[in-house]
Amino acid sequence: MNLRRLHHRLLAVMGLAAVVAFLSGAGLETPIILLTAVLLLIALFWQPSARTHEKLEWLFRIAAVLLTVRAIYYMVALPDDVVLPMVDVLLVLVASEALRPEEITAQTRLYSLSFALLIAASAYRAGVAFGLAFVVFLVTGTITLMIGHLLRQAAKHRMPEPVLERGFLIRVGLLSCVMLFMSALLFVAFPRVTRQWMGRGVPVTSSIIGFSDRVSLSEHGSRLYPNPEVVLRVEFPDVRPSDRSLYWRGRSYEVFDGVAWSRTGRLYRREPLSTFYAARWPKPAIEQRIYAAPIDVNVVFALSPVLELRRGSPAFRFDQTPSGDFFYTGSPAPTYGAVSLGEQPADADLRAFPAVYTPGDSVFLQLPRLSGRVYRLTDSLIAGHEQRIDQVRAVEDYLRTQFRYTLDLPATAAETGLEHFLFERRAGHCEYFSTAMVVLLRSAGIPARNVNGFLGGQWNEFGNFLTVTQNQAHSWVEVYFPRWGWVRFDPTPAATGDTAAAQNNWFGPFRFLVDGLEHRWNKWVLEYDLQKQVDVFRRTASAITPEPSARTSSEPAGARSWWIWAAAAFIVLFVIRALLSRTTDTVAALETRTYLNLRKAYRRAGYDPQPSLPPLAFVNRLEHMHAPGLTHARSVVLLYLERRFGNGDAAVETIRAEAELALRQLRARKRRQVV
Amino acid sequence: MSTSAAPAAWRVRAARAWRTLKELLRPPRRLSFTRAGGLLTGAIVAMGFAALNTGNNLLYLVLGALLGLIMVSGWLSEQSLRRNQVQRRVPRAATAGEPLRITYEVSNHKRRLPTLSLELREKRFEEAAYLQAAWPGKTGIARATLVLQKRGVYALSRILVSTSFPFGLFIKERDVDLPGYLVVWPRTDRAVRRPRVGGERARQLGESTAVAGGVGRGEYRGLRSFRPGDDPRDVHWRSTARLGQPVVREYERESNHSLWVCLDLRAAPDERAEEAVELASSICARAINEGQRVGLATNEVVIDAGAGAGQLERILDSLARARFRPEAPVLALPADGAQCVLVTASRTATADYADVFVAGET
Repeated sequence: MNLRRLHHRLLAVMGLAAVVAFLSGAGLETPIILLTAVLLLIALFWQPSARTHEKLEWLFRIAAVLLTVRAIYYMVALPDDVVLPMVDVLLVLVASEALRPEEITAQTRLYSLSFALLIAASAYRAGVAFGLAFVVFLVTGTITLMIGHLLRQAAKHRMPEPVLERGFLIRVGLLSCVMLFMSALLFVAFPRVTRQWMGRGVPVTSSIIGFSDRVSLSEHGSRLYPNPEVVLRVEFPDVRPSDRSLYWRGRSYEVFDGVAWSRTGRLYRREPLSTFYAARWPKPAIEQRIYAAPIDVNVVFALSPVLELRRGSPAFRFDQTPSGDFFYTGSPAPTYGAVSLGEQPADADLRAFPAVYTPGDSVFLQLPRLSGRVYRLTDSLIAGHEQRIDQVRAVEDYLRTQFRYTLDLPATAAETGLEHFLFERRAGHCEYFSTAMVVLLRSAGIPARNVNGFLGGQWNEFGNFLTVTQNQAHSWVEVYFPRWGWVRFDPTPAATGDTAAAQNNWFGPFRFLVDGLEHRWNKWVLEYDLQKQVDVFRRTASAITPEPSARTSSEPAGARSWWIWAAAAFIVLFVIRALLSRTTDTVAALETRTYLNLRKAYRRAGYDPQPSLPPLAFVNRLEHMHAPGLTHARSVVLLYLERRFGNGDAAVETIRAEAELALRQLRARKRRQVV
Repeated sequence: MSTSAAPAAWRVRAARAWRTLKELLRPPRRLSFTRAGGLLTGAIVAMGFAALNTGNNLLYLVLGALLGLIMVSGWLSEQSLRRNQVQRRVPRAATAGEPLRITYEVSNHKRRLPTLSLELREKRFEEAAYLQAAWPGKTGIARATLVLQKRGVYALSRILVSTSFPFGLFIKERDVDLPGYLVVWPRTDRAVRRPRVGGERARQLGESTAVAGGVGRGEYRGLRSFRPGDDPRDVHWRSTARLGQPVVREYERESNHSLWVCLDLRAAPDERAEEAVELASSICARAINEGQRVGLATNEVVIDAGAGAGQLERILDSLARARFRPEAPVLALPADGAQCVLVTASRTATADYADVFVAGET
């Protein structure tokens, strides 16, 4: 492949890397990005002729002008997200530059355009694909820039295209590791303190305003096809609890209209405080460190009840609603810590207190219009149970044992109703179960509410954290017990084999790997902040200077930091080598230097006042002035001339020896003069 | 006398010390930005601000990569510049106003890395030579073509070796001290009238030379085979046809009629002085091309009369080095005045010469 074609292809790869980087952040928000990706792929293997290019150029120009007008319109008329319209213009330009014939050397534009795309990608919360695309961009970019420069220089000096060895190109490509290293170094070391000198801060997301009232049932947990999108990644600093008991509580709903759940704005009674639960519920508390992915609701998910919520970043702010749900603002993807109680009160404890409901608000007893058979069913279920807990368990058991869990949705709209589920179909997904249980309990006068969130998760051995995906979306029930507060019940039977298998297929290990990478990317790149920076520095410092307590350990303190010394020695050696090689840097040939030194010595002695004198004239002059060391100086000059201009093969050592003799005589004369 | 000499010596010493100091403080490399490099630096500063302002970690990544790019650029350009042995090849002489080519041979003494994209130029000239590549252990060749308008001996001291490799962002330059010189002969194509030497007879000879090629070259001696460089007018066609190979007539040199061109250097080194040199060189060149024996005398050097291309080179070499100064020794007549032509920048002593050419008056 000739260099020009290689350059063109590498440019296309650079463009593709930038497109992938952008895709990893903004996704398919702008469809033009797919078109650009296709055009870049075409540019990898095909280049238009000058004629075709002329026609294409027209198309691109029209598209660019139209998109620019649109971008300006967005900027002026709609103070909305102006990044995407501008990126559209950028994408069209990238495609048009990539599809140029080979002859045109002005390809520098494509460097800057694809770079601009990469920068635009950083405006989004780009995923781990950004990192990979970034590496590809750097490696190809380094080689492309170098080849492009050589091609442009060759064209400028009217020279043929240079020929480069493959090994050299690979070595230059490897040099991009230096860039990656620098990138990492600066990334880690640059102080994350001063920010927001100008402009606006982190925008407050608007989801909070439209949040409180009504959320459709189908929006949460009703995605019945497998969706492995990661929602939460949870680290347990202390102890890892069993997966089954992990109910990641999100939000609760009070009002059921027969079809959908919603929230009421009329709650005045606050949720029992965390101190309330802390005083009554069993210990121990579980600490969680949660890295949430951005989803369309700003809900803080955590094990319930939450005793304490800790902010993971300064921008992160949270608030609690009267119904006990937590919401956050100020951070596109929140990172937070939570301390929750992992276990619920035992049934015996719940039974020990009489079930007298005094919430003072009938909202937790609200019911839609129901037919008589629902009430009859409730009566038959709770008959014979005096205690609230026993009634609740009876309903829960009924649903768990007599019903079947399925991801299949009802066939027609008429079959989606709750009563159809209870009396005809007797199968459904978790929302049906939780809704049914709440409705049955309320029809018996027991205050209950529907709760959404996630259940369980998959432990990632690769990164020692728990991954919670959309697949784990779940719905369950909370029942109020006067002394204990809201207690969780789950009427949904366990998933049958096929549903479970869908989550544990052969693809699993790879997904864990990717998920582990993604988690590290989020934790150490996107969420890297002052706190982590200080942490990194502290750890590095402690590795270098062994603490006094470390000396008591079995290995000596010196051995622990031996690699520090090795690194220091390496650096010192490198510097010495660099200095040495600097002194031995051969600028002129040895014979030339010998000759020049000789002339310098004679000039200092006053025998050679005219530096521009040619070598032979210099010898004549020495002769004329009866200079000391004349014979040796003459042979130096003759040997030098012969070697340099006459292909002579006189040994350099001979020339140096002669020069040495000449200089010795010159010095001897000088001494005599002084005496 | 001594009081006025002391500060002068002091000043000379100070100037020398200053030069030495400057030489010592000369940076080993000089760095300048190209347009792209300037833009990149601007972009880095802007991105630094953006990263600080937004706290966007991805911007820090990109910023670090850009700084890494500069580091890689610096290292690669350094590799291109170091461990090269530069040799200069200059023509034996060049003529003022005509293109001359300086050849640089760059031997790469590095073990693995190539020397790529070097620009070499003399410190005193603008024209650069471009070396595309010198692979490890190999020698690459670069040529610069330049036109020097003034005759003289140009001392070459330093070669500036620069490169914008690898990315065209910065231009890194280093010096290679390599003394040398370049002799530029005066131009010989100046329109000048024929010198009047040796009285009437010489003039006839001169005039008849234009008519018959043979006259002015001495007596006819015989025939010999053609050698490259012979005047085609001397070909003896009849013998050529008979022998089947070109044959030319040979003449004896006319030793009596040497032309002596005397250039008076006692003048200020100005435009007219240069014109005088060109007059002298043009006269000599024409006379030698016509086969005459020509000698040159200046206030410092005397070149004995001779003929042929070698003689012309000697004369032109000497003329290239001629230095005009009012205090030069008086010009002495090298031979019989009837054979001497005086070329001078200012009309001064004109006696004894057969003809006088004054710069600016011909």
